[in-house]
Amino acid sequence: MCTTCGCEHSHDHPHDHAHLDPRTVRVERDLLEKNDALAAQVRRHLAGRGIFAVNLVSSPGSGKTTLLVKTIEALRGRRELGVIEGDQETSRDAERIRAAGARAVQVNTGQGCHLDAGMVGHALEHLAPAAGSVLMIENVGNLVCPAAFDLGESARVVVLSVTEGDDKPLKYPGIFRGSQLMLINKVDLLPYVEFDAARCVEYARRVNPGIRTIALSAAKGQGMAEWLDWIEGGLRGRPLASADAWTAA
Amino acid sequence: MHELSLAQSVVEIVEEAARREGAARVESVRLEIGELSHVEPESLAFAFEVAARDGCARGARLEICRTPGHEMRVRDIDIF
Repeated sequence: MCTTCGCEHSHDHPHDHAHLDPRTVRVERDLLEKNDALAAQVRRHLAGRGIFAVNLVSSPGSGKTTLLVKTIEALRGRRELGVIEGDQETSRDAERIRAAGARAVQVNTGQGCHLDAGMVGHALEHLAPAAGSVLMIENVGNLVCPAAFDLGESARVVVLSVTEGDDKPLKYPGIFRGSQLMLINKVDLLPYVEFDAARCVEYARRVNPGIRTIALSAAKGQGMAEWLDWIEGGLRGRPLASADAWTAA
Repeated sequence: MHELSLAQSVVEIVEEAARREGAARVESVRLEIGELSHVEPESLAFAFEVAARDGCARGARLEICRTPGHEMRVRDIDIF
């Protein structure tokens, strides 16, 4: 046997005939290893400064930006809040956040359908949030793609509004499974829609038994106190998820 | 369509391994993709074709083995 290529013939070498068989090389590397390493770096950086970072995910139109604007107004003078805004195009959301009085960095993902840890790392260099502050990362509106990407956040919060289907947790389980808190937003509209909040919570618990739920209306103010309390708890290191009874606003 | 960014990761990992091995061409790539991972195999295979077209993995055959967990991994490659 030829010891250079393992072919089943003997001949005098130099060995310049073409090798027809490929050889197999073990690789064993994770597709997300680069993102996860960057996320770990972001997480260390934030933890070292006592910053509580929230990765806010939802479908488009759930009211994430309005929630942020109202949160900024509520925390004014008490807590510094910085925002990383992820959208495919425009800086409209960052402008809304700045108009509300918080610092914001807009990340445009172009064709990308989610933020990744590298984008958040770069945005942090520009935002330079203060120690002990709150960082809100508004992900691209999408219930599928952001689920796979760790951004280095302290907690992931999924926002679902009552103008959507109450069965979304069953239809998009990945994003609900990876979240510590579900906010049911626009509850002031409950009398006008078919949304069953209790059923929605039951579905969310089916895919994630530990998920915590707060029902609120960012626009009208119901439930906001509980949301602010959850943020304060995060800054103080209280548990973020639990199967405690949820309260309707 | 986050499969496109995952496909770009596959290509980066594969090209780096091929370069290290001094390979001229990658014949096939085997992935392990968990049933609970956030990946649609067909979209990933399509995105891989696009992402690989400018390098040594151009035209490589992509084999996706489904596993029970969350993993998304390049297991091994066949190279010339």
